[in-house]
Amino acid sequence: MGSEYKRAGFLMVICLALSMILILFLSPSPLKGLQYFLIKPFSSPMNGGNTLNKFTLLLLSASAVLLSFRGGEFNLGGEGQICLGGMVTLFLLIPLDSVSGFWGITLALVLSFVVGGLMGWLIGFLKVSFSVSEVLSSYISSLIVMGIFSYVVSGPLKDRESYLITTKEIPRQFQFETWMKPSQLNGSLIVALALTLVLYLFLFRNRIGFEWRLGGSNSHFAQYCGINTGRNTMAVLATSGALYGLTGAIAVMGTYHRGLVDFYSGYGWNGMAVSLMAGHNPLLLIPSSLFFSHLSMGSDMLNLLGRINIPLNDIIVAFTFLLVTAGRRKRA
Amino acid sequence: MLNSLMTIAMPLLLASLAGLISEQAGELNISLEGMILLAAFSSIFGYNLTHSLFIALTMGMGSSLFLTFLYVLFRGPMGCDPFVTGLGLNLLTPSLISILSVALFGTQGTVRADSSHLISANVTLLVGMGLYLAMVYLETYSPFGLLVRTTGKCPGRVREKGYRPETVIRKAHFLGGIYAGVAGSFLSLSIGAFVPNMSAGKGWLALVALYGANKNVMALLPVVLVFSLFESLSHSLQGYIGLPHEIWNLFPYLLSLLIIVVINGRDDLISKKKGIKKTSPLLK
Repeated sequence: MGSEYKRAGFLMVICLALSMILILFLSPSPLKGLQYFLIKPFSSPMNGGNTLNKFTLLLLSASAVLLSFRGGEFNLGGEGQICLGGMVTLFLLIPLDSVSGFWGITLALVLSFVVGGLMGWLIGFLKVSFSVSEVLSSYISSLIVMGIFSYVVSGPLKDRESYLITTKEIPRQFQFETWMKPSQLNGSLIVALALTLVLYLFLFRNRIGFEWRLGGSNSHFAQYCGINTGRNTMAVLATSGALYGLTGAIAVMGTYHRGLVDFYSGYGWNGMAVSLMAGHNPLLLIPSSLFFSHLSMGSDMLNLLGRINIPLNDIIVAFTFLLVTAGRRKRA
Repeated sequence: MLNSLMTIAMPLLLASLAGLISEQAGELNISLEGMILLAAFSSIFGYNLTHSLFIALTMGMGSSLFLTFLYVLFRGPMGCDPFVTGLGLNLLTPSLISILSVALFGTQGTVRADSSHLISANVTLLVGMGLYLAMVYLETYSPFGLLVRTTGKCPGRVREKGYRPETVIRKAHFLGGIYAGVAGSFLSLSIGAFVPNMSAGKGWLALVALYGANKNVMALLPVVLVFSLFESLSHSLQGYIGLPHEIWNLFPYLLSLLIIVVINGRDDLISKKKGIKKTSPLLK
């Protein structure tokens, strides 16, 4: 347990140092750049709220990926499943003008949960029944979903009056109420934090969660113990897909209020980096999401105000992937 | 039609050969996507710098070998997980290219070569098939191929024979790096431009083709040809059948999923009849 905390802290320091070095070398005015990167994300209520909102979405998608990693499955289709959840929400809510807010939101949440879960289940089903590796099927299926979404946004659902490639806004009553006014922060923060706690309790204080973890760390042993690993594989992937779908619905209703063409981009891979840095420990997800939301916001601020264009966020995410498993060689 | 088929098929074929050799050595390199993209970028850069196709191809190969070197470095001395490292390299390349592109060409977008259509489909076909036959020979008949296959199946036996499995795996990765580099160079040189994200899942499709062909060099060629035939058909049918082009572009992915389901399912059926228990195909 202790080593996980140390590793996460150590990684954060390395990533922070790396981003500072990059800013110092690539920015035309390094000190200003550092200031934009480090301080701006929390300098005003608006920026702070937006950072916390990013934190919410990252936490949600990271819990989805954490579940699949703990269950021993690599669900790489996160962005596609987020996209699917968002798409379902848009299709459902845009025509619903007269329904009250509560019912519309509940329906959208449930439907996106179910549809995302179905997509995850399909990946698990292909793995168990046809031994198609979930790594490939999840990634390719997510490419398909994202392609369909980009068609939907530029074709049937496109808002003709907007100069962006986007759909119409969802009706007012379905948009979550924002907290720190100009920012996008909303009640989903509580949902995400509660979900993380539930995930922890489920994985570490529950028999089914224990079975899933056992299957994830050694499926032969789990099978030997009489656990139905095939069924668990499908259940793990379905739940992971369902959580991703929920993330998509929350992103649409809480943050974007419309179907922007790339609204899902980043959350899949960033969420994965968050979970990797946390060592797949649900409690560590919170500091680690906070770190990455600050990173993502700081990188946006730097590019917006610092008159440079470096994809700092993507670079640090990539380095997290490269460094996070260092020295953890599996004994074959 | 045939020309477009070949310009689509050859990069895919070479990329899946790159995946094949690493898979045979027992450690699938999933950073193909990144290698293709970086090679595509750097061969355009090499051409614009020297106006020599040879240099362009060498730059392409060199850049993907550089990524392979990073992979081997993270994998060997630092002991990282092969899968997560490969994903990390895939994520790193687009940002690396965007920094390099701004520094070298002053743009983040499309980079044009100084002349268009640098290599014809015939050259692509000739070089591609040559490299394919070379890989068939290397895999099936050469001592090195035997060593690589044995390393994948039973590293202990290789060690008993006095070889180091780690070295064999490393060599296989570097060989794969060369193939992926040529694949990327073909991709950008055949249209004479680099477009961001031009690999568009090609590295992943190559892996799907690899599993569709059941990791068999001989079966790889027909599978890749079917994939490419469908992709080029979906390009040329766009004008005739009134589906939007975004939907047409998805058909290769859909088809690749179907193929892998059918072939893997058939294999499962056969091994069930014979009573063989199969282990999970990737990673485990």
